[in-house]
Amino acid sequence: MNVIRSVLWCALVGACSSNAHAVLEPILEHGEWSAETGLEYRYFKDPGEFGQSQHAAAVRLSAEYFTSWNDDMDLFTFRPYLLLDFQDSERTHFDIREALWIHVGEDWELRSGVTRVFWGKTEFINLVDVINQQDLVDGDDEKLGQPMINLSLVHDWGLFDFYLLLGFRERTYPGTDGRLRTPIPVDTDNAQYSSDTGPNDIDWAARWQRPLNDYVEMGLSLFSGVDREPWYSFNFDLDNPMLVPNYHHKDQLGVELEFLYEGWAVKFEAVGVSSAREEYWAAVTGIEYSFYGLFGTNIDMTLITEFMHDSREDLAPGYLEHDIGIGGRFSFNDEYDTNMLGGFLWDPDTEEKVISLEFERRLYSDLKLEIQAVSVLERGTPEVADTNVEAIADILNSPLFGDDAFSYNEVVEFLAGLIEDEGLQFIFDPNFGLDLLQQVQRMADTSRKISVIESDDYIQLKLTYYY
Amino acid sequence: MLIKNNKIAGILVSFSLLVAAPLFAETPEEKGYNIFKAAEDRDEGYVDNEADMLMILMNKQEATSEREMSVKGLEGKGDEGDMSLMVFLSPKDQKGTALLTHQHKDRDDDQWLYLPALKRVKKIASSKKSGPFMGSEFSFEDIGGQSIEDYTYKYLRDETYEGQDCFVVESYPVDKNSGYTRIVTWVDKEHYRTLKAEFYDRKKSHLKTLTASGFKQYEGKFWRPGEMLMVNHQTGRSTILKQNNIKFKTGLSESDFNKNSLKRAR
Repeated sequence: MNVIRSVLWCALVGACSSNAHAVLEPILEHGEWSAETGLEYRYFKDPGEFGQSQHAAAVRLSAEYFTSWNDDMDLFTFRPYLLLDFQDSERTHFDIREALWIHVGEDWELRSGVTRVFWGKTEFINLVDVINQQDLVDGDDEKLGQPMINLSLVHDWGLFDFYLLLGFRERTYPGTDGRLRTPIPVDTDNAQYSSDTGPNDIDWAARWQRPLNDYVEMGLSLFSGVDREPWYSFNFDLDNPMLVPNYHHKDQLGVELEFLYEGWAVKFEAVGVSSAREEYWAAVTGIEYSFYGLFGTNIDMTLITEFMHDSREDLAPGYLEHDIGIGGRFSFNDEYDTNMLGGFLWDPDTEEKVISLEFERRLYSDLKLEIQAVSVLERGTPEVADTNVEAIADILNSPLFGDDAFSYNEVVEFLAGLIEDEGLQFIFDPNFGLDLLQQVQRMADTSRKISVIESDDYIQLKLTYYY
Repeated sequence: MLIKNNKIAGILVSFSLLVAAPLFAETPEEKGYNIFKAAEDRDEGYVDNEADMLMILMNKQEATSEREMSVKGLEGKGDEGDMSLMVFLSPKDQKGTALLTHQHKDRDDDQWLYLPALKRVKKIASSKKSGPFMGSEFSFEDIGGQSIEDYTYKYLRDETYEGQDCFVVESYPVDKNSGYTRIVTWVDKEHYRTLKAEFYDRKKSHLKTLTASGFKQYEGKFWRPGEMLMVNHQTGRSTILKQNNIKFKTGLSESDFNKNSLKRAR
C-alpha cells in the first residue's frame, strides 16, 4: 500500500507540479463531511467446518469528504473506509475507497487518484468489469480503491475513457477464524507474481461506449494488466498448509451490449482473454422483462434469466463457468425505498444450486435495514479418498496440480522430498496427513467450485446509519 | 427540468403577454392545442435553469418523509428536446442518486439513473413512466418534461378558478404507456399558467389532482410556482413539491448533461 500511496501522491502533485500548493489549498477549504456506520450480524446454520463460530459480527465505518472549487470545474472526494470484524482478524481492514480529484473541461474530464469504476450491463456476473480488485473478504460486490489517472472524452462518436492504472491491489481473503473461507487458508502475505508482472505495475485500459440506435447501447473495452483473479498454488508445508495466490498479466477485449424495448431488456457481455498461461473466452447473455405496476399496485417486478459460459469449462477459477441464473427484483416504489431481490443459480452439469434472497428498506430517515439470506441447496460434495495413495493419485491426475499444470514440478518435488524423509511407507499411513491431502484433493477437483469455498447457509442483517 | 411540462410543467411554466393570434372558427381540438402551444411559446428562450426542490410525502394526516433534490435544465435548440439532471441530496442513503433525461420530440425520451453505491449508470425503460417517482404521488411522466406532441387536446369551457379566468382543456396522452386516459387542466388566460390539473387513470376514474400556487415571475417572463400539491384521491396520500433558489441563464451547456456529469452530480 505504501508504494501505491506514494504513486498516488506523485500523480496528484505531479499533475500540477508548477504549484502544488495551489492545488492542495482549495482541497482543504469549504469541504463538507458525511459519514455512515454499519452494524452487520451473520448467523450461520451450522458451526464452521474448522471450528469457526456460528455467529459473526462486524462494524463498518465510512466517511466522505467532498469539496469543489473553480466554479465546480474541480472536485475532490476523499472516502476512507474501515471494516472491523470481531471474529476474523483478516476481515478487519482499512481501505481508501476514494481519494479522487476530477478536473472538468468542456468535452473532457481528468480523474486522478484512487477510485472505483464499474463496467458492465448484466446482473449475475460482470465479466468485463476489470479495473478494481474485488474486496472479497468484505462481500461479493465490494471493490478495493484503485489508483489511476483516467481521461474521459465526450465525443459525437460516444464516450471514450483511457486509464493508466498505477500499481496493483491484491485480493483480500477471509482468515482461519472467518466463515466462507477455503479449506486451506490463503497466504495473503506471500502472493507470487509471474515474471511479466508485479505489484507496482503500471497497467492500462480503455473503454468506448455509445448508443447504436434508439434501443441499443454498446461498449468495447481493452485491458492490459495484472489479472485481478489469481491462480493458487499449494505451499507444500504440511505443518502450515497455505494456498498461495499467483498473479499473472493478461490482455482482455470486452464487449457489452444492451437492448431495451418496452419492458424487455436483452443484455450481453463477453471477454476474450490472452495470457502467457491461457487463452479463453467467456460470455453471459441475459433476458429481462419488467412488469410495471404489478396487479394495480405500485410494485414493479423484473424477471431476469442469464446464461453464463466460460470456454475453460471446469478449469475456470470462478464457479459461474456454465451456469444458469434466474432472478426476480421487486421494487415497491414506496417512501421507504423497499426493494427485494431473489436469485437462483444452477449449474446443470454439476447440479450445484445456490439461492439468495435480499431485502432492503429505510426504517427512519437516516437508518437503513438490509437482510440477506444465502442457501446452498446442492454443493456437489466431491468424493475424497480414504488413503494417502488414492489422494496422491487423484491430485496427480487433476488438471490443476497434475501433468502439464503450473505446479506439477513442485508437486513431484514435494512428494519426492516426503519419500526421502519419511520413507515410502508414509503413503500407506492414514495418520500421516490424510486430512490435508483430502483438502488438496477437494481443491484439485475443478468441477466442484462451490464445495471448495466453505458453503454454509447463512442470514445476514445489516443496519446502516447515515450522518 | 424544473418541472416544466405542459401539465405539471406547465405549472412551472408561464408566459408573457405576447398572445398567440386568436384564430377564427377553431374547433375545440384546435383551440385546446393552441392554448397549450401558446403556453409553450411563452416559455421559449429560458435557455437554462437551476433550482432546489423539497418533496414532502404525506399520508392522510401528516408528513411522513422528505426528500431534497437539486435540478438543472437546459432548453433544447431547434428540434432538440430539453435536457435535465436531477440529483438527490436526501434521504441520505440515496445521496448522489441522479436522474439524467434527454427529451425527444419525435420518440421516447432517454433516461439514465446513476447509483452511487455501485458506481453504475442504468438506462431506464420508457415503459416505467407511469410508475411513482421516488415513492411520491408524482409519477415519472409527471416529473419528466413533456412536449406538446405527447398529447392531443380538446378545449372544454371557460371557468373561473380562485378568482382567475381560466381555459379548461382536456388532453389525451398519445403514448400507450401513460398511466392516464385524460387530464383536465385549468390554464389562466392572463399568463397561460397551469393552476390545476385533474388526472384520470386507465380505468377512467379520477386518480389525482394537482394544484399549483406561489407563482413568481423570473427574468421578466417566466412564471414558476413555488409549491405544487398532488393529491391521490384513491389512497388519500399526497405529496408537496416546493422549489426555491430558482435561477435562469446560469451558463449551463450540453456538457453538463451527459453520463460523466451524471456521475459527478452533487
